[in-house]
Amino acid sequence: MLFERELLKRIPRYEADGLLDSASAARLAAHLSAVQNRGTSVFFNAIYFAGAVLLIVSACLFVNNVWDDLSVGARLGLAFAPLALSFLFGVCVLFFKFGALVREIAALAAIVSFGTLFCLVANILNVADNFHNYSILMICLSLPLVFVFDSRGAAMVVAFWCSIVAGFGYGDNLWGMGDALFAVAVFAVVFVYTFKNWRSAGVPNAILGLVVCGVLASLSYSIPKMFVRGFCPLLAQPDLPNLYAFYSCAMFGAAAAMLSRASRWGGLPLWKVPQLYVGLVLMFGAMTALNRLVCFDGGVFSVSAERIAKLHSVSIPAAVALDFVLAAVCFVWLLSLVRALCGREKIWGALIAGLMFPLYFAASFGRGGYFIFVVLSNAVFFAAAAAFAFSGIRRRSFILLNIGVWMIVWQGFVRLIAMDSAIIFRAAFFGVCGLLLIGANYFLKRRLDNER
Amino acid sequence: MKDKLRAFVFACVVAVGAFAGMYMIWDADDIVKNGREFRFKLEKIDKVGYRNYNGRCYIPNIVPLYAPYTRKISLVEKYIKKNTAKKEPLENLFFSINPNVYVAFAHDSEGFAVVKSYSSKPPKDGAYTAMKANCYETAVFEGGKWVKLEQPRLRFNMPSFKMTVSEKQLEKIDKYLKSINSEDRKGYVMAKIKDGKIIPVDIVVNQKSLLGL
Repeated sequence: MLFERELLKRIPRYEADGLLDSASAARLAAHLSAVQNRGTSVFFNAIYFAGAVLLIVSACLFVNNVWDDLSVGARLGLAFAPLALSFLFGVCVLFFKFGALVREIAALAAIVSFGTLFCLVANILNVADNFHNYSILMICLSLPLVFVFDSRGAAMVVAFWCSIVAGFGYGDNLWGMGDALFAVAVFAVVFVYTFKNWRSAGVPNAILGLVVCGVLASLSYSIPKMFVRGFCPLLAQPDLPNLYAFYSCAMFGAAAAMLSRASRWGGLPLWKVPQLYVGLVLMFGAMTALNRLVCFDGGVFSVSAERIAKLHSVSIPAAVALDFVLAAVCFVWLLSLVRALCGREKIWGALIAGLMFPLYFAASFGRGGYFIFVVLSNAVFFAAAAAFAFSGIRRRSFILLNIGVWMIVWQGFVRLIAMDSAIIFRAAFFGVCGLLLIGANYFLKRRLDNER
Repeated sequence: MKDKLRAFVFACVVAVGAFAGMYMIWDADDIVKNGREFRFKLEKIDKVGYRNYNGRCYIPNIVPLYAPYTRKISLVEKYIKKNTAKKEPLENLFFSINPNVYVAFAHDSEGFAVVKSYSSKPPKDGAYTAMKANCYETAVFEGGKWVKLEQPRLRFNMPSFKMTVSEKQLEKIDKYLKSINSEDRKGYVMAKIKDGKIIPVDIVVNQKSLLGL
């Protein structure tokens, strides 16, 4: 392989010196490229991988066996060994132009070696746990590896860790607004990286897309919580149900953005459009939360803003900033809607479901009653479900059809739980849902079979 | 050229990681050498010696620390105001969100660590650490009944100390502790504190260092 790689580099020089004509140079280059790309078989790759894993396990067990007899200095030196090995491995991968799989392994090995180094040093010196500093440091070190090795695995690790940082942020007041902004900024970089390469085929891209969209869903819940806690800690308490409504509103905004984005691309199967999948999950979750009576309070944002302004520990600018965040979320939703409407493919069910966001937003600022909101939001939800189902029939798509049916089933299920209805009523409802699911799919299948 | 640039960036990242590791070592060494020494009482020591035994890692039970509630903490005030309407006056408040508070330490007459002061921001004095206040106490249960305190107080749980020992040390520690009646075991953790960071350096039971056995 080394010989073929070296010869490939020299072909232009030989052609320039007149040793090869252009046709021969092209044939030779094509042959050498084919040889390089052929690589080794899957069997041998698996053998090499298993052998490497066994060697690593053997080394770890050996070190573990002699660990107690080593001095503190020797242990600290050994803690740096994985980092040194991963550095050598990474440099070899970059210089010898190994394939995508080996690059992924090099990136993940570097991340693991960083984590191992910090954990071992803390363990040896009895340093107290500081998950905050550890997380920030690991993210800062892992993010460049995404671009150095063009690694989807490293991008997934960074995305997950941003979700963890944001998840911790609201539950512990040692984590502040800066951490939320940092997590958002890093995640934005990973998001751009993911969808910049989106058109490239491949399972790793698809998995990364799913992971990133899932993390976006998680962040849309955690980041507003962190902002609220950063600006108004007295309000960031779980016994205040209004805040769940605010977080659900933000989730709806994110769901609407993703659904409208998905509608631009269309192009099912579902795994190729993760925005649609994640947007629907978000919407289902937010709808469940909003159907809880305790979660809704008309005019919650107005009331909250007044409370924030009155508190002596936070000032009026904090209240203004909170309203600004809400306005920004609304703006993002509007922008996504406009882009979706301008797209070639339109999934009308998704666009209609996105109307939930401004509806709830308006209800949360106004002083309207719970009943009006429930009627309107359920009407929008069922309209979206119907649009999905009819789109499915029209486009001969089982996925769209079943999305519509499941939205109806889910909403009915949530209302049943909320109303605490009698057993006979629930039994009848589930029976109807079963018939609806079977009937709708059977109808579409018959239609497709007849057309063939 | 592109690969050389990537290799250079990778080398820089690894260098930063290695530097971070070396800084951790230097910082821990600085705390142990230049930090102030404090002793934290241990709770009941059973025959194994520690609350949690996980391989080579021990997490000793430290007696909670208390401080009279003189300086207001915003989250604590919120809990107090919410509960003043309740009929039962003698009720301790357990927080659903434990506020992190910066606690400065001093020595009592026996040389053990006590809370000198607490605040929501780090103090200028270096002998402090961040701790979670998990309870606002207005009464204590003594002699089978609740006795009201003269001054309400905050209860702080110490951050968990993880101490690493070898298996041979573990056997020696176990043997030593078994030689003492459980009621007679009295111990403390010796820790060094500097600039909000705390590192345990020794565990002493009945005047004998367990790590030096």
